[in-house]
Amino acid sequence: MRRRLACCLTVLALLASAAPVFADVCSLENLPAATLLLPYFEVDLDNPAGLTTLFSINNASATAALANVVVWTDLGVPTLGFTVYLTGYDVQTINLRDVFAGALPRTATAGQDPGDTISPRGHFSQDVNFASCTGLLPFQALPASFVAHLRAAHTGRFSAILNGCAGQSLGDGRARGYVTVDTVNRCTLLTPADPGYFGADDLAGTATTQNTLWGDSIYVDPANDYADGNNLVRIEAFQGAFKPGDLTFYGRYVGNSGADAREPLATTWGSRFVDGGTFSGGTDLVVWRDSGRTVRPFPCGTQPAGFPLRFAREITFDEEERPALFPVFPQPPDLTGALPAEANRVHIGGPAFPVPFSFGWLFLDLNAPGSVIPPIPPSAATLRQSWVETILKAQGQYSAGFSATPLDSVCQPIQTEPGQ
Amino acid sequence: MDRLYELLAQWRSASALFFLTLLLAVSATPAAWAGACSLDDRPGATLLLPYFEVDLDNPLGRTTLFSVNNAAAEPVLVNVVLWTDLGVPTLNFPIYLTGYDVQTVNLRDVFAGIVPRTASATEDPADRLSPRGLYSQDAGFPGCAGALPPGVPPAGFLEHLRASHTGRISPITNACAGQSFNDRVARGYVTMDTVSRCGFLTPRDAGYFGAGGAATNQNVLWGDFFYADTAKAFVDGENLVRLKADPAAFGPGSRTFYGRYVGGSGADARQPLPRIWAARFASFGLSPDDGTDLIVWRDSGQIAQPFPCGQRPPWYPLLPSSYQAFDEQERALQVPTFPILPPPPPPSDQLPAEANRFTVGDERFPIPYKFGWIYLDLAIPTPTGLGIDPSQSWVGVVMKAQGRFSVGFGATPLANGCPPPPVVPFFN
Repeated sequence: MRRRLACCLTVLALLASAAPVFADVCSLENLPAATLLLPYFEVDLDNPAGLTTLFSINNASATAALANVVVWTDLGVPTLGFTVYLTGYDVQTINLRDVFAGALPRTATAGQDPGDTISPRGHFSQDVNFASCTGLLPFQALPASFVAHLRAAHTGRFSAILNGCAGQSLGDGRARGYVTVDTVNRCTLLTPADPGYFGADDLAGTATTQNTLWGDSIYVDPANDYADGNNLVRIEAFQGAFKPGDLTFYGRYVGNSGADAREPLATTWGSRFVDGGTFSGGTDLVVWRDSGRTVRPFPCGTQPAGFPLRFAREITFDEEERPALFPVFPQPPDLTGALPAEANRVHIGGPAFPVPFSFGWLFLDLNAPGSVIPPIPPSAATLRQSWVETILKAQGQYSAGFSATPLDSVCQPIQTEPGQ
Repeated sequence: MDRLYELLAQWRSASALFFLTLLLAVSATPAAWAGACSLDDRPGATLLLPYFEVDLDNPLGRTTLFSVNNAAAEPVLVNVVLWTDLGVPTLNFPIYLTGYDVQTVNLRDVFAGIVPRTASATEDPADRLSPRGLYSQDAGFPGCAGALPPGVPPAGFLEHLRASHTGRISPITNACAGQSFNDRVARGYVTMDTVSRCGFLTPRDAGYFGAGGAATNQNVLWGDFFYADTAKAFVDGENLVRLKADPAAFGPGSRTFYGRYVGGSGADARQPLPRIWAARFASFGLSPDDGTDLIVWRDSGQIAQPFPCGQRPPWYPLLPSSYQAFDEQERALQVPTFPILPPPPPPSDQLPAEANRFTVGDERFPIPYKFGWIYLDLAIPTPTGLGIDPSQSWVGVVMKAQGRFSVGFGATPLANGCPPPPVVPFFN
């Protein structure tokens, strides 16, 4: 009883300080949020000096926070969840190479760290006890069998724990996927895909609506002298703002009930691409897509239902705004299958995404294909959220990454597309 | 590299009581201005390049590139304005964009007298300069005859331009307009507005905003920018700041982006920027170039004028209202005292200009920590007589390591620009 009371007091204290920082529903702002999305990661497991992905989780509140970090394969199967405890205004950085080696961030709440040796607090921070974390925090090294599962699942190989495959097999030894980070009120092994994770309010479920998290991510490729970074996608929660039938960020896991209260992302994007001049290494796109379904492990050698994903429409413009469309000869290929997974990175102008121009911009309608082209406005059945980032590279020298330009939001889907 | 990872993995930081107060204060205020103040990357009616640098002496040295894109099928006319780092406009030129057009600009070219050659349908009936695509529209705009395509500025004007942006005396105004760092690096910022006609007006001129004004409220512009230093193999980029226009949302007394130029009337209808930011920093210590730079654009609240060289504009330097830095162990640079006292005034040369770039930990911002984060409240301490608080700003982060890596992204605003400024008792 005392433990429960303590838990409730902690949660109430959390809620008291979890003030939304002047935000608009569906605005895709860069303000602190209740959920962070790292839309894509890669870790070269075969080369310790190769490509990896780092990210940080920051707490914008004086009150301590628990963050549930969930690692998903590029096809959207959750493989690992772990809790990060943040004292007030704390920062935790994570190198995903460490995670794939079995080393999770070592944090602990006041109850597991009374001497403040693991998660010390500063002059202005608060430090509290989450009793649910006893026995879980600080994390010990993951067992070898689980590490083997993790590495297999994210490289498209058979996982003994999942008894199947969970991701794309691209045959290059690179772990791929994406990461979500949610504010929660207790240590948990649940993920957003599990029942009970979201409740009617911050006390009923595990996830909370504290808009206090911020952070950034960096792709580092020492072998090729590349590093580029961006802010993590901040997905704000607005309790009561979404009703049944609304598409929310985790809508597919809550039956589109709006229970997660997370704002959805955009559906249509504009992104420049450059292949030459300062950026001789060309342009990559990082694209996260909502498949609209709960993805389960599947027999290796097959694809989960609904995959490969397709999207509604793509138009490549050159810098004279000529679209690469019929009657251009040769007729450009259909690229609407070029982003087949939930988490994708594709080289513009490469075999997977050929474009006839060296400079220009892409119009991407990443909704699901409909029966009408152009599919405007998207129907409820085809509405899909997404996130796009642009990475421009100079061969062997440098790269620069930033978000693509959202041309709508799920709350106000695009009404007019080029050519209409 | 392992050392880099180790240091990256040690990134942890800290806190301050004023944040709790800030959040509580903010939570007590209703969220107004729904939709008009969103700090998102959707297309806007104004784009802001918050800071630029061009090394005029070294063709392979630092330069700044940007693009301006039209998200609509309809053509749009854009008024590009260069401002010195102290907020004096020095040059404006129009860019005509057919539907879905994109125009890239290297500011090195502009300082060499080469401005983008575009032309609307009237000046370019054969579609040689600004051809239109299959889905694009092409039209004419009033006032553009003779203005489009832009000609090459006379040599005397180019000398004025270079002098104004390097803090030297302009042969045209016989005055200075920017900070002097005793180098030949041109500094400043750029705004781009959708307009209805070609002209020589800038946002500070009467007749630019409002009924019958030149500026329009077409939220169709998007773009990005890059700082390129070919000699050092550093490039980092970010989206241009997109400012949405919403004439229904702003009126007299509203804070707006160009509020200082419209007397706080809200006539520009542009959303304001925030004033409170959080930015991470890291200095890996692996090479002399390691560290974190902050790009900071600030609204001085003033209509800046050229000034006698050797003197300073009366409002200079701008001061940060307050700032706090924390290390990875959450130790604060300015520790709390009892009774609570205001922090010592910041040095007068911190973030003194409208467009600034500084290295965290240098003599202007002497922070003893290698890793951590900074809280910046960029309010203007002195009232400007506008009747509104013009305090607004934009902050970007550039991290560099090992002479090989450079990463740039926007800092985190802790509120958008519309609400009344939150009270931070610790500092007030």
